Amino acid sequence: MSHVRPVSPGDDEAGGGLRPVRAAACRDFVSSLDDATAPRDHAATCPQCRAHASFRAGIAPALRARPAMPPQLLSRSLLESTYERIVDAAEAVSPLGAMLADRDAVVSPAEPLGEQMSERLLETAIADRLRSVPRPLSPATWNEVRASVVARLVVQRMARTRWALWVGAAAVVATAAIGLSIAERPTKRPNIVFADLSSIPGDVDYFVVRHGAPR
Amino acid sequence: MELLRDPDADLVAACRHPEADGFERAFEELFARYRERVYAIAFRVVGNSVDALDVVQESFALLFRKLHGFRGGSLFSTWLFRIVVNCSIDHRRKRDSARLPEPPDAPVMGDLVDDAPTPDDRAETRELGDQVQQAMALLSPKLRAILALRYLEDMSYEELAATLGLSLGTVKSRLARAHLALESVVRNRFPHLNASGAAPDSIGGVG
Repeated sequence: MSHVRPVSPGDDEAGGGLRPVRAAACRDFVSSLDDATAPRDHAATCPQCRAHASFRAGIAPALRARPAMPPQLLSRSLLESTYERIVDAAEAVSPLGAMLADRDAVVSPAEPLGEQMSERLLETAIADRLRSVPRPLSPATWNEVRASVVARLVVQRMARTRWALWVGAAAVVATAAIGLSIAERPTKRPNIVFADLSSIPGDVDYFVVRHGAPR
Repeated sequence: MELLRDPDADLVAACRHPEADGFERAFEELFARYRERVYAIAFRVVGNSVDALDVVQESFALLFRKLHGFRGGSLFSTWLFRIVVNCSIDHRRKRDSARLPEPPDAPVMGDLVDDAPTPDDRAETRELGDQVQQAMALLSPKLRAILALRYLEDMSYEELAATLGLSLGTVKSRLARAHLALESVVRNRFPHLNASGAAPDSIGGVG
């Protein structure tokens, strides 16, 4: 049986949220309601779809009713201000803007956009510049480029070496510091005694020694 | 087979040449021919007359800026309505993201023009229209747009697909979702409304 989750005002289709869930037969029926040739049998067996069809028929006049035209729409001033907007936009176009506008021109919906766009791109001056091959560089220029790259690499290598030396020195210092602190602790010969677990004092280190044969 | 000629072809041709003598007259005529239809669609999507008027101006300004790119592969009106829908949706999104309040004069649907036969029918339709417009304000701009084109311009699935740049399947599913969402909102928000109509057998279609 089909069911519809109510769409609350915060929902996506009515503002953000859940979509109605319908069985496939219900979805097909609802999708075909605008098709005069589609069968209507399903409505006889599904009360929700029947109700939806009835709702659509009832709401149609209200949806078809056009809003009244405000006086500003029919006024000369709106026509003139729209015309001024068009003229201003046309006058503000620079040669570059014209090139870009030409390149980005909207293609009417039925035409294949891909071919149109590539054809139009090839026509522009920008495309001409992209197609042209740059003149080759002289050997002296290439030598300068190589020298500057090598110099940059040397500087980077020196910086890395310097950094490694600092890190190494810091490690040595840290190791020495730790070693000194260990060396300064008075050495104490440990006194080992055997005692029952139940009688071990709380201020000594101890190990548990298993009594009995190993398993 | 007789090829259908675009009824706007001559006007569009005259509007491509701003420097020509006939440009201003062609522009005025094109504007007068479409301004009400453009306004109605914009109103449905943006929800108030102030923004709808802005969209009318923006749409025509954009149309003339891009007119050199219109190659005639579709009807001029199809192309125009796509521009209007995109401008309306952009306008609505900017308002929503800026969280601007609705303009104070938003008349909703109180001034609906309908051709119901009797005064009582007209009053009932007007009340239903007010609530429907309020309900539509809760739908996403894309769903509002497809409902506006379907009902105000009586577009078929194919025309909707061409205008919105969608496949037929997407058009059908989006239209279905729009109707279901509208029904849900109307039934939840305005349960007292009697939005039921004729039996399913007598429902018309767009083919």
